[in-house]
Amino acid sequence: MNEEIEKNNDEKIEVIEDDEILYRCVFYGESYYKIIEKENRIVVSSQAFTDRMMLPSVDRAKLCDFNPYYTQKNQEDGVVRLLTKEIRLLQVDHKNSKDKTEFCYAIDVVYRPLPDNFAHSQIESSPAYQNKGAFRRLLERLSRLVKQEDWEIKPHGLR
Amino acid sequence: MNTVFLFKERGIKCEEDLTSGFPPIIKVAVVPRPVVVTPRQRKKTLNSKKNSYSNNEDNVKVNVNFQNLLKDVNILKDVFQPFKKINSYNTERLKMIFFRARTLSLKFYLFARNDNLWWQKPLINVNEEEGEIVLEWWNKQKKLTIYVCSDTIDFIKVWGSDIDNEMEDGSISLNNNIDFLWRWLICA
Repeated sequence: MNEEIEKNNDEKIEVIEDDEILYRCVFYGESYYKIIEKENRIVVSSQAFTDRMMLPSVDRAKLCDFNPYYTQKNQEDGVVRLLTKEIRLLQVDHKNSKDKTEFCYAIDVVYRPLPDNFAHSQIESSPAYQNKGAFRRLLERLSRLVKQEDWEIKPHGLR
Repeated sequence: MNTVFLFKERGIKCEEDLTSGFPPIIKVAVVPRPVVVTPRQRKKTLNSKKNSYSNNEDNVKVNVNFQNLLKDVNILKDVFQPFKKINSYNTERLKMIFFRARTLSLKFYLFARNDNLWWQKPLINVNEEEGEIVLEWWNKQKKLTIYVCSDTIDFIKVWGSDIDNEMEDGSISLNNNIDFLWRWLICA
């Protein structure tokens, strides 16, 4: 009986619900964000979401007690909040050499726990990106999702 | 002199002395434009040495103005300073990408400066593994991202709040006029 409950709980935890909050670390420095002084806002660079394997990492808030400091790599880093549903709704198209859309990638947030990070998840596409262009467009869209109120922790110097 | 070609545009050719370090020495030359002369014009020119001298003076004037522009403190601060890290990269490939990225920034700057338009320093990200440099500019609701690689330069334009539809991408070449991108970014 207990085993069955545990199994059900494991299955539940594997699924990331649409309304789940995710955290992404925005590294401190000059390159991943910019302060637009005239408009009094911080904009996030698309490069704040880039990943060598084209699989940007996020942490599931509910698996780290909704503590954004869990996601920080260093004390100076910032942390932004994203909503799973908004990521899943992103439209990323695949264009052919004639710049015509052939199909749309399905964007998903998939739970990929690591030995040292139980909350770790990845933003993945199906099928895998066939060129850089599609991934670059995803990065633009992810950075565009971040509003001013989504800064859980602002980078050092802006707190 | 060990120089690298920067760009040729509007009758001006720019080269940089690679041995100069920072601030760089830019060599500027006026490229004579091919002139089609009709027999009637030729006769007129030969009869008037004064006109001939005036043409030369125009060339000198362009050259001097451009030299002054490159000595400008603003151009060092706004265009060259953000790319100061060039010499810290060991690979020739990445250095060349840096030069390409800076030339692009310089072209935008000169366009903005010449037409008294708004200018902003780019946010620069270097991706050493991929061999690309990413430049980003924001202006209100608009954003321009440029990926500079060793053989390609791609751009992404983003505007408005509809993130799924208000986006456009494409490729450019440093040999062509790229003013249209800056014009797009600054126009309301």
